[in-house]
Amino acid sequence: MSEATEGANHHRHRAPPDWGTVPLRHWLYRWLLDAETDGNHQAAVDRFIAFLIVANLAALFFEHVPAIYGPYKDWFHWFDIASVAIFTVEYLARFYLAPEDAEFAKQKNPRLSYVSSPFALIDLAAILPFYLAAFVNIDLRMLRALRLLRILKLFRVLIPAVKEFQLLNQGRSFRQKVHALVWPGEFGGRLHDYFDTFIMVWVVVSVTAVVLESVASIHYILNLEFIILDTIAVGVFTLEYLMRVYSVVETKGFRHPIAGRLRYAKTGNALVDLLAVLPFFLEAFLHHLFDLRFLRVFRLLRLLKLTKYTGATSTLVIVVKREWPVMAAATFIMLLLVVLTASLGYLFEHEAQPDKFENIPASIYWAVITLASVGYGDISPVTPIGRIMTIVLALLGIGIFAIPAALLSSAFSDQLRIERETLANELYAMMADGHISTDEQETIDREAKRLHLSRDEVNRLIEKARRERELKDDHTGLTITKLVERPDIAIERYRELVGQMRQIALMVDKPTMDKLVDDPDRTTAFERRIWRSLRDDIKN
Amino acid sequence: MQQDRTKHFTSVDALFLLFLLSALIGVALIGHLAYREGLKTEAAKANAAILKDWFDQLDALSAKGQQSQLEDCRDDGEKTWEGCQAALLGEQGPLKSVKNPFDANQAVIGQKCDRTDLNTRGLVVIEKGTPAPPGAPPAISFGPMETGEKLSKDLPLRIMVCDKGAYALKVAEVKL
Repeated sequence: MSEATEGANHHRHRAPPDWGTVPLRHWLYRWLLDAETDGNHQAAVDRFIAFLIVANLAALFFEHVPAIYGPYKDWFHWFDIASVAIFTVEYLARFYLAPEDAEFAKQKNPRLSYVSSPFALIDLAAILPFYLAAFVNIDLRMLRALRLLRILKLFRVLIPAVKEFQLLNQGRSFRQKVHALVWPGEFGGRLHDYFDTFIMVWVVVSVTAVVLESVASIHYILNLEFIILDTIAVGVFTLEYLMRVYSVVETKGFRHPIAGRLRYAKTGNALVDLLAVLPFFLEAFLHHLFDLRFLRVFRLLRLLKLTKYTGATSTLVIVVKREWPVMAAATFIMLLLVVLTASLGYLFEHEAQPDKFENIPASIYWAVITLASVGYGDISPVTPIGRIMTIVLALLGIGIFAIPAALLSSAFSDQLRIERETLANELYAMMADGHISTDEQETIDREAKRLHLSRDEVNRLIEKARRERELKDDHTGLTITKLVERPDIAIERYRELVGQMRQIALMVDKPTMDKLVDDPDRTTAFERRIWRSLRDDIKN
Repeated sequence: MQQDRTKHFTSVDALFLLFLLSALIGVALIGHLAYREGLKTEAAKANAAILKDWFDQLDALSAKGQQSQLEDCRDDGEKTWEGCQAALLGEQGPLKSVKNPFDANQAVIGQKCDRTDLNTRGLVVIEKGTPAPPGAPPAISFGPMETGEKLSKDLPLRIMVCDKGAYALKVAEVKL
C-alpha cells in the first residue's frame, strides 16, 4: 500500500466513551459527530441527513406536479416542516458541540468560528428561507426555489470524500484518477463508494420510472417529467459508460488502448451498460423509420447494472457453469418428455379437439403447461386415454421439471459454503500474526458483504480461525494419534514435556519430592528411574 | 492512443473530456427534442381537455333540462356526428381556435389514431361506446364514431388523443 493510502486510512480508532465517564458535551460529540471514533453513530447520522436531502429534492420535484401536489398538499407541508426541524436540530447540535470539534476547538471562539465556516453557512442557508417566510412576505415560489439550497448540504459529505480522494491519488495521472473513481480499488476511497451509490440510486429511480410509465393514468399526468428523468438518467449512465471504457486500460488484462477497450466492451457488464442507454439513442435517431417503442422495455435492463454491486449473480454464474453438464442432461430429458407428451397429446386428442391439438408444435404449449404443473386449463384432454396419459405424464413432470431447480439450489448453497470456507481459510492466514490489520479488516468487510454474512457470523468465523491458529501453535491440544502422524510436531512436544519436567525438578522441594516418588504406591519403577535421571542431570 | 504515463494530464485526456462533453450535449439535445415533442402531446391533451369540459358543461345543462347551444350537437336522434363535429370546430364551437400541435395544417378531430400514419398525431378522437350483452366484460366497448352516426341522449363517448407516436391516449369518458 502506498504512503498516500496509508495516510488517508490513518485513523485514531478511538472507542466511544461510556455514559458518565466524560462530560455530556464531549460524550454527545463522540457518539454523534466524531468521524474518528469507531462504532459511534456518526456514519448513520450522515447517511440519514443525506437521505433526507434527497427526499427533499424529490418532494420539491413532485410539488411541481399539480396532480400529485394538489391532493397531498398537507403531506408535503408537514414533510417540509419535519425536514426543517431535523435540519435545525442538526445545526444547533453542531453549534453546541463546536468546542469539541478539533477544527474549531483551537479557535478563540469555537462556536463563532463554526458559524462562519462554509459548512455552517450552507446548513443555515438550507433552513433560513423557511424561518424568513414566517416574518417576511416571501413569494412561495421563491421559497420553493430557495429550498434547492438544501442540496448544498450534500457537500458536507462530498468535500471530505473529495479531499480523501485527492490525497489517495496524489501524483497519479488523470486517467488513473478516473479509474479510481469508477472501478473498485485502493485509490477510490469514499468518493468511489458515493459514485457507486449515485449510480445505484439512478438505476432504481429510472427503473421505477419505466415501470410507472406503463401505468396509463400516471403516464398521462407525468409525461414530461418522465422525459426529463429519462434524459438525466441516460446522461448519467452515458457518462459512467464512457468513463469505464476510457479508464479500463488501467485494469490488468485490459492494458492495450484499443484491444483492451474492445475486450472490455464485449464483457457482460459493459454490454448491459450499453443496452441501458442504447434505446434512448436508437429511438431518437430511427423513430421515423421503425416503430421503436418496444425498445423502451429494454430500459428495464438497467436493473442488471445493479449486478455489478452484488456477488450473488457472479455466484450464480459460477454455479451454472459448474453444474452445466448435469443441467444439460436434465434439460435434454425435459425436452424429450415435452416432445413425447406433445406427440401423445396430439395422437389421442387431435380427433376429439382438432382446434386445440391442431399439430404437434401446437400441442407443445399444452405439454409444457401440464408438465410444469402450471395447468392454465385453457387446453385439456377430453378422451379417456388422453386423460390417463396426462395423469402419468403430469406425475412424471413433477419429478423431471424439479431436477434443474433442485440442482441449482443445492449447487448454489454448495458454492456459498465453498466461498465461506475460503473466507475462513483467509481469516486463518490473517491470524498468523495474531491480529487483524486495517487492510485485512477491509478485505473481511468486503467479503462479508459479498457473501451476505452478518457481523455475528463474521465474528464467529474470526473466533474459529483464532482458535485453530492457537491450537496449531499450542501442540498440547493435539491428540497422541495426531502427534504420532507428525514427527516434526511430536519432537517439539517431546522437548516441551522434557523441559517442563526439568523445570519441576529444579523448582520443587526435592526431599519431599524424593519421599513421594519413592512411595511404591504412588509411582512405578520406570517413573522413579526417570526422576533420578532428572535429579542427576540437574546436579551435573 | 498510448498515453504518456509521466504526464498528469495529456492531450488524450483532453480529447476524452471533449468527447464526454459532446456525448452529454448530444443526450441533452435529444432530451430537449423529446421534451418538445412531449409538449406537443401535452398541447393535444389540452385540446382534448377543452372538449371534455364542453361535454361536462353539456351534462350540467342536460341535468337542468336544457339543451346544447350548438344546435347541431343536440341529442334529438336526428343530428349526426358529422354535423356536430363541424359545429364543435365552428365559430360557436369550443374548438374554434384550436390547432393540431404536431401540424397546424392537419385536422384537429379524427376518427382513429393510426400508428402507421404519423399524420394522425395530435388528433382528438371521439369513440362511441356500445353496451356489451349483460355479464360479458367489458361492460362498454368503444369503437370509432362514424360520420353518419346519429346523436342520441346519454350516448357514452370516450375522448382520446393521438400522441407523438400516433398511439391513442385516453383522456376521459363522457356522455352526450
